[in-house]
Amino acid sequence: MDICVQRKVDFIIIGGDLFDSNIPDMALANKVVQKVSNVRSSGINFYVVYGSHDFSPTQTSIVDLLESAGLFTKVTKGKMINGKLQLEFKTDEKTKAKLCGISGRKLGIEKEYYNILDREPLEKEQGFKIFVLHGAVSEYKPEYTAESESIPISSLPRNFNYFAGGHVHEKLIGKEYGQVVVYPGTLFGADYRDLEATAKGQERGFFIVNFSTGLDNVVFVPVSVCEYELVEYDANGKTSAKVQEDLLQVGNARHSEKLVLLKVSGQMSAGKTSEVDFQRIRKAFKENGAVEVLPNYYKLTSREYAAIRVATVGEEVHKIEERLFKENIGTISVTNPKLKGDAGVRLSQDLLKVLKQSKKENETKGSYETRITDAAIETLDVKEALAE
Amino acid sequence: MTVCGQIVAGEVGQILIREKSGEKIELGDLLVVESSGGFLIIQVYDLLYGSQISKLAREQMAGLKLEGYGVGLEFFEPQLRNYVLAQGKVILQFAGKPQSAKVLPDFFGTVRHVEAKDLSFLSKPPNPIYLGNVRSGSKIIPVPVFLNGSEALVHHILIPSATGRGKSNLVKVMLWSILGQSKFGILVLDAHDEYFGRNGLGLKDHPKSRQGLLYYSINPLPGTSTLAINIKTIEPEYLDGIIPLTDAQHQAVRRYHSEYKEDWIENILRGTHVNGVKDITLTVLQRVIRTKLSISIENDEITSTNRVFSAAAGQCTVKEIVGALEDGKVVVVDTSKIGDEAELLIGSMIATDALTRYQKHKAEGNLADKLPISIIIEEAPRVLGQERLEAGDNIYSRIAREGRKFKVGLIAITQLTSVIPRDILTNMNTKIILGNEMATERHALIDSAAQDLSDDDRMIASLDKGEAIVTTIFTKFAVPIQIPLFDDYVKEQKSPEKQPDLQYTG
Repeated sequence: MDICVQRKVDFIIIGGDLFDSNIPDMALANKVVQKVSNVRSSGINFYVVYGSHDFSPTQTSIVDLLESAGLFTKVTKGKMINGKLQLEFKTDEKTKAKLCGISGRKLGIEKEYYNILDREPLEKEQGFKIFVLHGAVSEYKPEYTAESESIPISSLPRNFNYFAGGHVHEKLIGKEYGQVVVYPGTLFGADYRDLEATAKGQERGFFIVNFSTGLDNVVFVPVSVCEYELVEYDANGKTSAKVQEDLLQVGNARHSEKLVLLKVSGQMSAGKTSEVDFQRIRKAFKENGAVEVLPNYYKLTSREYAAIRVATVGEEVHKIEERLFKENIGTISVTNPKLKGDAGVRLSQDLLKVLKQSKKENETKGSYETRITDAAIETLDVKEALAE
Repeated sequence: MTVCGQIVAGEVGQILIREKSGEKIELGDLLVVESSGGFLIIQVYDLLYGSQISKLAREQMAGLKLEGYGVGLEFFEPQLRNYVLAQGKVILQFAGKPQSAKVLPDFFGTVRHVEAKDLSFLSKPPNPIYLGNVRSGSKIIPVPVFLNGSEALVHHILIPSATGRGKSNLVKVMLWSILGQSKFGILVLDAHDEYFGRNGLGLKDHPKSRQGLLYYSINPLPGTSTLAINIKTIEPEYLDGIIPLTDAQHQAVRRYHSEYKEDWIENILRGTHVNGVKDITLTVLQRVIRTKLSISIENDEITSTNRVFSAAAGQCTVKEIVGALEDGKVVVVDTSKIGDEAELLIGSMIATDALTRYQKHKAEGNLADKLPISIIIEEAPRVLGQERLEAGDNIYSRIAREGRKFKVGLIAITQLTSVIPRDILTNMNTKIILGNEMATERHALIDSAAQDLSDDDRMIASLDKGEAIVTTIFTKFAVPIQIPLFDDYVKEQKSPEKQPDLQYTG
């Protein structure tokens, strides 16, 4: 954001998931609000859509608060007319750019919005037009995201000068089908895979777009959050004691101000995986200057002992939850269609999101219980049934 | 019960029935003879004249009439003297349950036309695939015929037919009944873009198409997917038996892949030198990639004139398709504008990945929980023909031979059954035979059918558009069917599914 102020950009677009939750940690939210507020006072507008993380179907999101405070402008205003979704453009006063978009949702709802989108008025509108979307475009999805939801490019309205995307974790400019679709990627990383890619040299940052009547250029601005160090260790044929010794030795070297990704794999010849004290190893790294150490020993096994693990490396938490719900929902016999199939998975995810919320500071136990219970009842839509 | 004839002579497989005057027995008719505790069904495979009057007398009478001497000359009680004889075979014996016939019907027994109640044993199986209604001669009996999809699909289906006999119509009817069941994944390599319904009625009009149908095309309709294949996702093995290569070219491809991994095609096109590959081989490979797959380099960028292959897009397309098949969806890939080799290569990529994934499921003990996958391939001899296979196996022939073990099957459509090797034909355990005038093609089918069709040559030759015979290891007899016209069938079936009320939250 400081770079945006320095470069005197006209406005900033956020394609969703500024936060990883609709109600983020308040200390973090406070920092963000201060920063956004400073940028706004420089005359830079923020145009946003929800991401799948910072939206809640039942509760107010931090994005709503920022909009109410006049810091953000959502560009997703629209209404249903005869079963079609009609979006309204928001015109940026300074540049006269026209923006509209669709927020991120889960399990097909976002796709459904595109299916019912009334494209014609959007396509006929004159001027420099930007469409803001959260979801990934199928044609440009990175290979490892094949199983995640996406929107085919044919779903997007035509005749827009620029499509500003959010969800994808890699920077990407797609121009193959006559539409310029741009994803800046993550600035830091949502999971180990992202961080490893960064450590291996993948650039992180954002795009600055120059335009007049048409698109002039799209320039990538790299942003380095911290320095990374990827330590890959092959434990094949070594004992647990030897692995421990080697890793401690690596840890005891200097790692000044670096985020260390410690990746240990291979089958040990003797000893159990639990005998490798990763806490101690982590401590050694940190004592020698590492900002943080993220060990990944999913592929570490032992001839003596093989634990059963859930295959989760590189998978985001919400993806794991979704997968487990999908895998197991069929095993429960229910008649209510809201509890079956995709609808059931969606409801389970929403309920889990509610139940995950922790007690706030200064919140009494009773208030906390009431808040969670009310939110759960609203999510399950059983208020009337309970009243009876 | 209306008697239409009486058994007058015959032997096993050749029952002779005299037709009752005023009744019409047709080729292919199903006739019923009651027996103690049940009945037998006879299928008519030939018709001939019978007469009580000597040949000489008949010829003399014809001469008199033709030459004008016999005005008003008629046979005395002609219904007794001249008649039609039908030749038939017992195809089924029913005594509480259907079974193969091991007895002759009662001598001099009366026969009647089959009725719906006689065929009540043809019940709707689990996971049904609708084919049409039972047909007796040209009469449609209101008894629907289904295949059990779980069984039939993995045992492969062959649809042989001359052109214009309704192959596509049949496949559309089958897919319509499959769509929305979420019980099988079906890949359709649609060489004529005729299944989705871009310009008329098609699978897109199915009430469950949103949940169960995916459509890929280089010219996608709004909301459908672009057929984009990233060249980095093409593995050398996908070319096996699809793009004809010499041994030297094969080795060169392997060397490039070994050296440059996913960038092997790009490096061949850019002419990067690799040890052990002669310049002439490299030049030929460049030409093969350019002409067969339409991939080339222009202005230092990889381009594809058929717009399918891309250096930037389409990294997930094959994985997405295989995932959708695994989830029990119908995936239609419009290959109408991309050329033969490109179509077969895309099919090969999807089929190889699907088979590999299911082989892995089997190795991990999860195969029982997986839905069957079937791949519809038109003009099957392009990949299953004797000549093609002599140059080496391909993924389609592998699936034909061993796919069943991994719940992956083929639906092969062809006009030329005779060029498909016998071992593959024998593995196709269901054949839906449409009309064919060519004797060689009929004989190839008869020789590899699940039931004895050795007397049915004439019947197959006489099949009209939309008429078919279903021969499968899963029924006791070859069932004659009438396939409904897709458009009529859809109009009968279609009931718009109420869309849930969608609230918009911006």
